Amino acid sequence: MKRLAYSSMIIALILCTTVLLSAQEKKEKSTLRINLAYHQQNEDLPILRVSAQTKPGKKFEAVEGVAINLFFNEETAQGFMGRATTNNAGVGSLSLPAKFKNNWDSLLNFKFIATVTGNEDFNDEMVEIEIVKARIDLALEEEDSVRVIRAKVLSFEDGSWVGVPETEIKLFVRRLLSDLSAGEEEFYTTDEAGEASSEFSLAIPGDAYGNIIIGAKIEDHDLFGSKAATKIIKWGIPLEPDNSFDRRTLWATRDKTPIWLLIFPNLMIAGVWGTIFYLIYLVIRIIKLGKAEKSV
Amino acid sequence: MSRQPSISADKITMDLLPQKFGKAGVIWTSILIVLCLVGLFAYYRQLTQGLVVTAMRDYASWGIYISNFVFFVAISLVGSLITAIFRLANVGWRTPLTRISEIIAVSTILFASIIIIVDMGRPERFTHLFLYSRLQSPIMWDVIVITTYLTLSILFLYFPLLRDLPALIKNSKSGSGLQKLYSFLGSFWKGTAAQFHISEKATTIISVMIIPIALAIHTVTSWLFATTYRPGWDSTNFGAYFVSGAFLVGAGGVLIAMYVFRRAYKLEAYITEKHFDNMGKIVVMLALLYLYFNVNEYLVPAFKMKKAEEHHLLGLFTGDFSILFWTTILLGMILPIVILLFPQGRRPMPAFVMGILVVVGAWFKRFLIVTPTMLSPFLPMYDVPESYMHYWPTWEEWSITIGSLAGALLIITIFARLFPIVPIHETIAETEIRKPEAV
Amino acid sequence: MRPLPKIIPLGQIPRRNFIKGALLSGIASGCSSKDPFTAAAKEEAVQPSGETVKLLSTTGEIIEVDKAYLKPLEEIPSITNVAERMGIDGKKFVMVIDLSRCRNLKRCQEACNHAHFVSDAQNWIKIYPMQEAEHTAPYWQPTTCMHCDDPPCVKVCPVDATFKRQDGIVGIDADRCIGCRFCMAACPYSTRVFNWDKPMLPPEVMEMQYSSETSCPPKIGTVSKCDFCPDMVRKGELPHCVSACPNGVFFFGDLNEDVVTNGSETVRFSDLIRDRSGYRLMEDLGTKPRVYYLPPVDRLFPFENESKTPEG
Repeated sequence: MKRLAYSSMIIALILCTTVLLSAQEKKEKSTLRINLAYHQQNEDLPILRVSAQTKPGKKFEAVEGVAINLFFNEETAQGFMGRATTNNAGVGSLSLPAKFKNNWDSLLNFKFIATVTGNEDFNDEMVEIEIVKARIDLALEEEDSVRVIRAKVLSFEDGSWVGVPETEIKLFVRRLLSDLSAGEEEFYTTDEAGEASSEFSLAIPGDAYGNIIIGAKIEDHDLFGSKAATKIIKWGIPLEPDNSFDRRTLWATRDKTPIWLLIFPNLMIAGVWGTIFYLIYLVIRIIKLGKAEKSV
Repeated sequence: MSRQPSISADKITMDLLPQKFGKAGVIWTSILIVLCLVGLFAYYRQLTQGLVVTAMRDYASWGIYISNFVFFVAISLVGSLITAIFRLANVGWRTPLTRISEIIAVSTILFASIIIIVDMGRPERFTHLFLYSRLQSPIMWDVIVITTYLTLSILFLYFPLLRDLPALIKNSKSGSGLQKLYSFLGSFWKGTAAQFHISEKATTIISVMIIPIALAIHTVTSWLFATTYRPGWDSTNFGAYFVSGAFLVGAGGVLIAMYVFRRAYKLEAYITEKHFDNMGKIVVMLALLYLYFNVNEYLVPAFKMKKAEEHHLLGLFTGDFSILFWTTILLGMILPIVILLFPQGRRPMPAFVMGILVVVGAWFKRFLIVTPTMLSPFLPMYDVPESYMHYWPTWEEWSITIGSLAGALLIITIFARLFPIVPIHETIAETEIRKPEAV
Repeated sequence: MRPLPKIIPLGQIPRRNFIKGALLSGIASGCSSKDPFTAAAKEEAVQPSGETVKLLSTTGEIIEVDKAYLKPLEEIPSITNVAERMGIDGKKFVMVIDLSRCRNLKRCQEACNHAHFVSDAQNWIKIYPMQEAEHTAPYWQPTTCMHCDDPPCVKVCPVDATFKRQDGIVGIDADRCIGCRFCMAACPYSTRVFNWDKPMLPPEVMEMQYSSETSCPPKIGTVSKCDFCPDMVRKGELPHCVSACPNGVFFFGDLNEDVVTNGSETVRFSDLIRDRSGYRLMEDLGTKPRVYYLPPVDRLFPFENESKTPEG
């Protein structure tokens, strides 16, 4: 009896597996398009952004929930940085793990590899990018009340940092969700010394002290990836604090009910309910009178 | 037309004591109970499945629950009209009508608060109204005034009832549950001069106080609409409009109740044709007043025909709601005015029919205040399923609404079964004072 | 699909730097320990766990890697209800909708519905075909919640279930809402919807703790509406409708910074409104909306009903 149950279980298991296997075989995996990008701001640890897209129809669509393995220089256990899973916009990111910092510091050229392996829905995929280390020197100068932003793009060559000419660079003011062009132009091209500059004449609000963040960045450069340098400076208009939220208004929360709306209704409530309690007291007086009558 | 001078105090007491249900009474009560149970079942479905069982959707987000609520609030004004205003004005013939109108007020205002909870998407969060109450919201004002009005109305019912309780205790089977109830409510009432004095004082205080409170519940209820921007509601006239409508429906309700109790309890000697005649005149006056406010509410915006108002007004005058609108105006206001202007029209039977027209018309009038406005938003109704653009209640909504109306009638019926619907003591006292004279 | 750096401009990506900037300009909402920014700022390097997992390489080799590195990045901790009700200090969110670019593609609506589990019948974003009068030009008008500065809906709420935040957003606390629907009657823009039925949700969403910043999970018997996606802003990203629009109709930003962006363009808010004669809907009602419109002049597309929705 026991044996029968055992063997039937095995048969069931085999059946299940074959069904599953055949189902898996039938399913055709689609192809992913993976994008890998390198970002570094100032001297922070760089961040790797991956995005995954697929093309089921005519258009590319973002793919959510794809685990992308990221490697530093080599696709080995030593090079494994971690795994980034794409969000609903098909984007995932990973900052360079601290254990690679020394390695990264000592190198001038490096490679990043992104792979997708063993995914149920998609074919294996690999993308790599090579990055040349670069630097942006940012200087904010004020002479005779003329404010100038100077940025210099440098790369390490033959033992020293040298300017990189003919590079497109953006000069910007950082805002909450995006960067606003700080000069007249959207892009500036570096000169022979690797320098670009623009006058800064924006009258733009900063924080309460007038601080703003000004920066220079190169985006999606073939060699350098994306790099940005930023500095904080008091070139903004100080923001006047707005206390309208703390006012007692009709739309405020209950702890900020307008005073008149507290005084008058409560006066009325007190007056009316005071009388109601007096009426109840009158009922009690009638009861007491009645009880006294009874005892007489 | 005059009350028989020979009528004795004992006879009055025997006449007015609550009587056991006859066959009609049993059938009537059973029907009401069945309707309540159907309403409860429908509410059970609403509780388990959500407001999706109603026909309300994002545009018509308020439906007949709200219009029924407004109706209940409106009809409850009658308590203060008959009892307080007539009392202060010393209207002699009011006595047999006071208790009728006061119990109507108590039962309808009670069901107004029940129906507003039925309308809530999250009735189990009712306590939030007290935990997180926000005085800026007109809903809070409504909660406050309705609670106050309910309490005052119960007191207003109770003080005069005290005087009738000795007769009730005396005439009920000793040891019965009924007698225990009467004893609990008023065994302490000995009718001493001191007790009378206090009771008299209390009644005067309530009479004065209940009038502003009653006006407040109608005004505040109208503000639930008038504090929004919507066409048809955005009116500075709304408080007065609602109060006048409430007076009318309340008076109509009293006409009906007078007729029914007179027939059912054989009270012809107490609720006389003179009462119908007087109440009929009052209904004419109130209907004219309400008609006046209606002309204001519709003619003035229609004269200007602002863009936002256009859809709403045309819907009422010539569109989807026109049949209901004109029927309500004609049958609920104009016809009662015409009929009740004639002395023959103020005889009990026709007056009763006019009362029904007024009350039913008033119910649909509330529907016409709520629904057409909800279906006239500023931005056009768009990008929703077809069913979202119309509103006609589902059976669940009808059952709950009818159940609530039946519930209010049930309370009145049970009250009349337990207590004298015409005050015994006051009637005797009045008869003794004015023995020879006609009313 | 546009390239990513355009949707989320470079430099916003490293969150820590965004945070530095935020702190600097006095933004980060009162540095409590629950603050998501500081919590995210503490994000440390992953500690190896010692346990290994086998991983297949693209060449078919097996790589053994430390398990710790497979863990997904730490989620931003959820912030408290009190903090959500206060909003983000120092911000005044504002939206500009450019009517000259809208062609009724409804991408905004799709993205919004997807992100907030909105049912098709109850769109938070509606794109109205508008025509003021018989001989005036028709145009498409997308509407979100106007997040009014004098919000009629908030005024009438009896229990503080809908509230105005200091960053200008009008939020809803579905755990507080009693479902009286007064706010729906009060809103002149018909922007609010009610969960008449039990919302159809994936099980994992149903179990989530409610947040008024994501308006998720929607709850039966309560009111919902556009929330301006403050959760996205906290992540340094744009609201879903803004990033979904291929024509850049929606601009979003902080009025205090005087800058709005649609993802690819970043412009001064004051310049945009001045140069393009921006206006707000139903100004005469005095609701003071936070959503501005740019008139449908010099339109990029002819008025055609491309989404095949019946006109209402």
